[in-house]
Amino acid sequence: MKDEVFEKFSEKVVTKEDLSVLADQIDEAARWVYKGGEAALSEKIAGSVSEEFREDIASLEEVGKFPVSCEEQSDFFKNLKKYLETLPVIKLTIAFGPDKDFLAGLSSRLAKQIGKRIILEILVKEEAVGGLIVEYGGEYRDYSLARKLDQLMEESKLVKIRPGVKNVQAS
Amino acid sequence: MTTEVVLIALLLNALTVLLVLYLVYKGGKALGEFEPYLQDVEQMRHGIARRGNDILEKTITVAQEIIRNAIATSQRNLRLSQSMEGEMEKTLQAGLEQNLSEVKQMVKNATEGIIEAYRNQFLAMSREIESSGLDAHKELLEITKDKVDELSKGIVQQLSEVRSTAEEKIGQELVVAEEGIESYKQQKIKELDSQVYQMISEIAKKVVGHAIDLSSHQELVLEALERAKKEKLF
Repeated sequence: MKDEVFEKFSEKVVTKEDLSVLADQIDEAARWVYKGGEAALSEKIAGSVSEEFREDIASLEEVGKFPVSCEEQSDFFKNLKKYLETLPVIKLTIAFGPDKDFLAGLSSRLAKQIGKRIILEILVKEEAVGGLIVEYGGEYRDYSLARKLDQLMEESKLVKIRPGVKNVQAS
Repeated sequence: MTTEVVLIALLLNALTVLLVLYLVYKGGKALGEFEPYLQDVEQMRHGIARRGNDILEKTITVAQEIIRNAIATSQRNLRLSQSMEGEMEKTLQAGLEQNLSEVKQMVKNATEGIIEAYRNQFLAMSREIESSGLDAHKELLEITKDKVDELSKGIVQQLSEVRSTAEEKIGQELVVAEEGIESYKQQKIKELDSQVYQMISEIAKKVVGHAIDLSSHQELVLEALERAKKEKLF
């Protein structure tokens, strides 16, 4: 049951930046566990965390999926952070600044391909020209247009462009 | 007891006074006995004094006379010596001048003699040197001519050898230089080619990058993911 709850939190995390923001929210909520008396945590953290995060906690409290005791709440947040830290990260280098929808679609597509939720680490480099450079699980693949252009240039060097000049770079 | 001592002391004092008075009396009497002798001695002393004074006066008179005579003699001698000094100076001056003149003449004569002797000797030597110099000069000319001829032949031969060696060396260096230039040229052309390709590549990337719109970028990314999937990266 806990994994389902944790997965629900992770669904909103697409990029490493999202993960960092969520980790901050969790830390802030955990600070309120032992403060503010007997009130529900969702009430105590109002104004200290984002409304979206507060509502997620409140909805869990309503359906009885959020722990009641302070110790359990503290453990809940610790375990949630651990779970999020175990999510795999895929590093993507692209040549344009992507919007949230595109990233969400990309994350969903990759989650299907890999079979589990992943965190995207996006690097924007115009030098890539287009396409994608992927780093995942210790592997590196360059599917960028820059590489394709470099290959084309290398191939074009096979042709002698000046009479009497040896082309030594041909391979 | 005290009184007795005082009385004894007074008595002793009185005795002492009496003794003194007696001695004074006896001394005056003794002096009176010596009076005639004292008068004789006095007269003798006066006599001796008078004679001494006379002798002293005479002595002074004689001494004064001697001193006057001595002064007069000394003055005469001084005048005499002054006149003699002038004469001696004149005589010495004249002698010196004469001697100097004689010495000058002697030196002049001796110098002229020496110069004449040397002149004669030099003339003789010059004639000898001139004669032997002419001979040597001729001989040197002949030897020099022979040497020059000999050297000329050698120089011509050496020049020919040097020239051929230099030509050979220059030819070799020219080949090496040409090879170096060709290698350098090829290297520079390669560098230029590389730079040109790099520039073309950069320009191409920029042109292509700007030419692609957002949806094409997104499609390219999705295509790349498909390819990654096919390559079993995931």
